[in-house]
Amino acid sequence: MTRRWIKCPVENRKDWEDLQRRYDADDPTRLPADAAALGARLADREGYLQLHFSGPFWQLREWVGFEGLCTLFHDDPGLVREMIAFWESHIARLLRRAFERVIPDEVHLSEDMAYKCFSMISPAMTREFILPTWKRWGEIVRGAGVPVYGMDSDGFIGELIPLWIEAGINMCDPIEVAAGNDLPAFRRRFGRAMAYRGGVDKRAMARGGRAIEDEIARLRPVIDDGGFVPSCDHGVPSDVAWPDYVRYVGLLAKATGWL
Amino acid sequence: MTARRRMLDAMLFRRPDRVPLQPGGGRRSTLEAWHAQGLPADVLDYNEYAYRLAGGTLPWPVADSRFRVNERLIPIFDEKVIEERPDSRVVQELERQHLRNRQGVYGRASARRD
Repeated sequence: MTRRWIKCPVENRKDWEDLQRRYDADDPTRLPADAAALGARLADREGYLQLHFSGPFWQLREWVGFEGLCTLFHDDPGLVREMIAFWESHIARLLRRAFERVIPDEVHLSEDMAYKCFSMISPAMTREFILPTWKRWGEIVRGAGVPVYGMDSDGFIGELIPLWIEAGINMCDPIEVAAGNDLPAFRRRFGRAMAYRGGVDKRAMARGGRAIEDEIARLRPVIDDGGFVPSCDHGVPSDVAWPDYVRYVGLLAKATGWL
Repeated sequence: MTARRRMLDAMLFRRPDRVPLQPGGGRRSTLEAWHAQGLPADVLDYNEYAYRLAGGTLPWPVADSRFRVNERLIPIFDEKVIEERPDSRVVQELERQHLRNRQGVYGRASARRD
């Protein structure tokens, strides 16, 4: 089956105004039905707790489509700003409501805003349009005492990390090696201002044998330095054979102190 | 040390007893391939299973805690067929919005060729 998008939810201002009615941040069903009791139980939790939200770039792309968004930045920047402000307010309200019930260990944003070699919009445009929202959410997150403020983006993120650090983001994933992300180099460049999850080359997992041994050895200095939870740098693809995956888990277990 | 404390210590450059062991997550096609290659179908946690096969004996950590916050459209769009064509179908559909099992929330019309 192949598919092709022929219409996106927002194609004109009327679509946009209609859509906003479906985003009532105070709708009680946006939190778990037993939010108070669940939050009380989670105060003494043993498991790590993340809250996930879509970032502005991700969400506007969902509304207007990728090409539509990229042209909209140029053709109608005022509407882009309006949509970002709306989403910022929506998520800010949800953060505050959630924090009344539970303080998570991490607030994690999804943006997926990079190609293999570059950011999908320039760092300058990211700074102008997106960074202020990341910062203001970060103030809420930090103000509530949430220690980890994370960001997810596939693709090459080397030119985005400085902006994330500026926004107060202190963890990112999944650090795709095939996109040219070099984790030891990132650690040298950004020091301990950024922690990472992921970073293990899925292609080396597929090759197995010496390739995966070398890959874990490549990452070992960062594992030992801290601020890094090594994991496959995206979903494990089907060309990773089960015996090679078991071998990889064993190597990873040794490198992380589990064997 | 709890799984929570271990992850926090790792993320914050402190020294956990061990770095969290989180090898990754397989796609559906990956799991189908693995089942054909020797992963028993009744194994619920293939990462723990792989760890045991590799010789691991330490207690497997508890799963992450959950507190779901719904950022999506309320109400969501209905999924419906808008037009049947000879070789395709125009569908207003829900879109998966996140790789980690979050459901997207808006309607889109798409031409789907089965």
